[in-house]
Amino acid sequence: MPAETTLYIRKDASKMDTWDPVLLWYARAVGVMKGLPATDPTSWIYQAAIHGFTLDPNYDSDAATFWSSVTKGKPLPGASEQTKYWSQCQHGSWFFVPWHRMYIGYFEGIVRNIVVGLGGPATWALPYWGYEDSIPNARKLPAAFYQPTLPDGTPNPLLEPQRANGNDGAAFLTATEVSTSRAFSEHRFITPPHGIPEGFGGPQTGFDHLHNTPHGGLESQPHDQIHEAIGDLMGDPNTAGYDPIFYLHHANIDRLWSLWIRSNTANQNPTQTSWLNFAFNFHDSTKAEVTLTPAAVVDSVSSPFHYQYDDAPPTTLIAHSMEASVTPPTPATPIPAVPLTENPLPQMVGASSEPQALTNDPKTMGIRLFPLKAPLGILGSPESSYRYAYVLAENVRCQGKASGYDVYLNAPEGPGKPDDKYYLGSISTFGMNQASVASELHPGSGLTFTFDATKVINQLKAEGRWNPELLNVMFIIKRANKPGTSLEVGRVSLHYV
Amino acid sequence: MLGMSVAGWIYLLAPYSNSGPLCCSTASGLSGQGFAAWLGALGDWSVMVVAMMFPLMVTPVRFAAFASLWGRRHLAIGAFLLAYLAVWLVAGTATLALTEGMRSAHWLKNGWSAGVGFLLAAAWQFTPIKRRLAVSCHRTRPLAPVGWPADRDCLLFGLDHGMHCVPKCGLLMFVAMLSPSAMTMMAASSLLLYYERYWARRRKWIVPGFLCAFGMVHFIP
Repeated sequence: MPAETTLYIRKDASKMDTWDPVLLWYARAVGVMKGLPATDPTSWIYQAAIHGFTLDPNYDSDAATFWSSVTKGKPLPGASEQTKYWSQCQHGSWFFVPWHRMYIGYFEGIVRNIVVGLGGPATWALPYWGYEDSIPNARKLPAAFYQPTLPDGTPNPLLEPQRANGNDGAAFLTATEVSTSRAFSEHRFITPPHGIPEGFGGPQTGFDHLHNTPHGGLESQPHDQIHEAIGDLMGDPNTAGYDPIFYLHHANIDRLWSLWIRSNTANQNPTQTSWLNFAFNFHDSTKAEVTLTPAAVVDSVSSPFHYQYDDAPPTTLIAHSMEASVTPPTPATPIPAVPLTENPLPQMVGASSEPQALTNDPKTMGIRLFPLKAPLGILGSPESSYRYAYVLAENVRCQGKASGYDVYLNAPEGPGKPDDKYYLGSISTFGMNQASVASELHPGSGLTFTFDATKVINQLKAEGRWNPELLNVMFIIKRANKPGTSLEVGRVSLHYV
Repeated sequence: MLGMSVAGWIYLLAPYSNSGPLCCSTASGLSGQGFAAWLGALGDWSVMVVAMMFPLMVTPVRFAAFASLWGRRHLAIGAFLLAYLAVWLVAGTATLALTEGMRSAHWLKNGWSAGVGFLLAAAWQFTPIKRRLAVSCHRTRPLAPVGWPADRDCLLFGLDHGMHCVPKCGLLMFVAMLSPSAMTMMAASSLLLYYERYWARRRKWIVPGFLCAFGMVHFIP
């Protein structure tokens, strides 16, 4: 067991050499974990299944096929153990960030234990993949994850051969996929039940494994986008944990949560006891059963995992007790016009009439706008009765591993992608396939996406491109779909607050 | 929604008659009391649905309102509830007929029918169909913005929820009606339904456990 005073530092894998010791020890530990039986809580199968697992082809045929082949002939934990520890991931929920912090925290401890057992450093910490950084390597998969072999010539346990993108060493993530502006423009943690505004951390829910509730800003972009972009196992919540890059991706999402808190004094975690004290089940590195609550992990340094990221302000465990905060937050940026304590009711002012199937070609859905009783003006200005505008893409459903779409507003028709000034945000299909089929876990309504359209609409008004009767929402595919996949948007609508 | 539910409970629990709501009058029954008595029982059944089910309908009703043009949100809620209650009325007619049949066969003389019913309801909790129906309570659908397509979509939305809600919660209502302490069982069952919807997560044994307890109570002489 590591000393309790050790402060582990998680570092950016994009800035490491291909076989930096941190990544090489990770690879060796993953190799060990892949050799353990599925009934062992520290095995690769067990750890991956904590996030998602199914053998039911009617629920998720791709995942069922994968898990059937991986577990074929192997004993599995009993049904009650599976219910308690497997398929626990929290998505579309205010538990999204704390649950994943717990998950990768215990995972990190298990890997470290194995690293130490192999003769590696006791200070080993899980690296993160800082894909939103501006350095050239950031948008490539860290090279250790696509090498066929380790330096000693043995097969590389970090290589997942079927990834849709990244294994060729090219920079494949787009600027929109890695963008954190959508998440960081939110100053409320909790997403209201109607999904407006999107919020940072997700809606207030109970235990919520893969429901059709709205995703918070961080989960929508970049989290979901990165999952979808890598694809294959990573593109499906029921198999994502099996790809070793998953844990570096989520370390970065975890880092972005810490950054969000530090970036603005207005950014606060929930204070409700129903969030703070909700207990989740895990196994630690000694295979002991443990429970943990969000209250215990809101601060990564004083959490049981004792870590911080290499770009965090310097701190030590001594200076950092449970009672003390990490560092004084930076001065607050101007608070949004709507007071944060207020939960304003959004008013729908227009919607499309028919669902629209999207293809590899750009598609436009028109929102018919209805007359307003109050002046619109420039949103947020004193003469306007409204401060914010939101576009919703509702009940988006897909079949197969479909690509996501970038969404633009009233963009001029023409070849190539429209100007960024008309860009609203992106739709990701991560988890959409499962949410599109009625099952014991999903009602089958698909997913709904919220985009803050305030800036784009004010831009359109300034350019004279605003039509008070019709708003066109344009969908442009991110990566061409393969045959057999499809995606349909149930409705697009405009809401003012 | 919650206000209507509370009003419904006040009506149902008020000592306005000796035998309680007509739909739960296990002592006398409706046989031979004519069409008016059946209509009255159906009316009481509707009040019971409002009291028991409306707290469970907050989420879809809120969806119908927010997904409709601001000016027609009340119409959208009304259309949703109309269709939802229509499904429950059909179910109520069948339930009352079945209850009367059981009463005629002297199956309701003691509480054993309710006891067996509650045990079956507990077993029902563990079936995949029940879990699927429970998830269906969160279903949404695209609503057209105006005109008859908007009304149609709200009606279909209400019908959809009613069709899932009746088999999910209706069994429990029916069983509670068989009990000699029908209103007490109704209230207790409602609390279980609220717990199941808003608080239950992985403690899957709590609702079936209580249902078993409700059932066993009926076998105590």
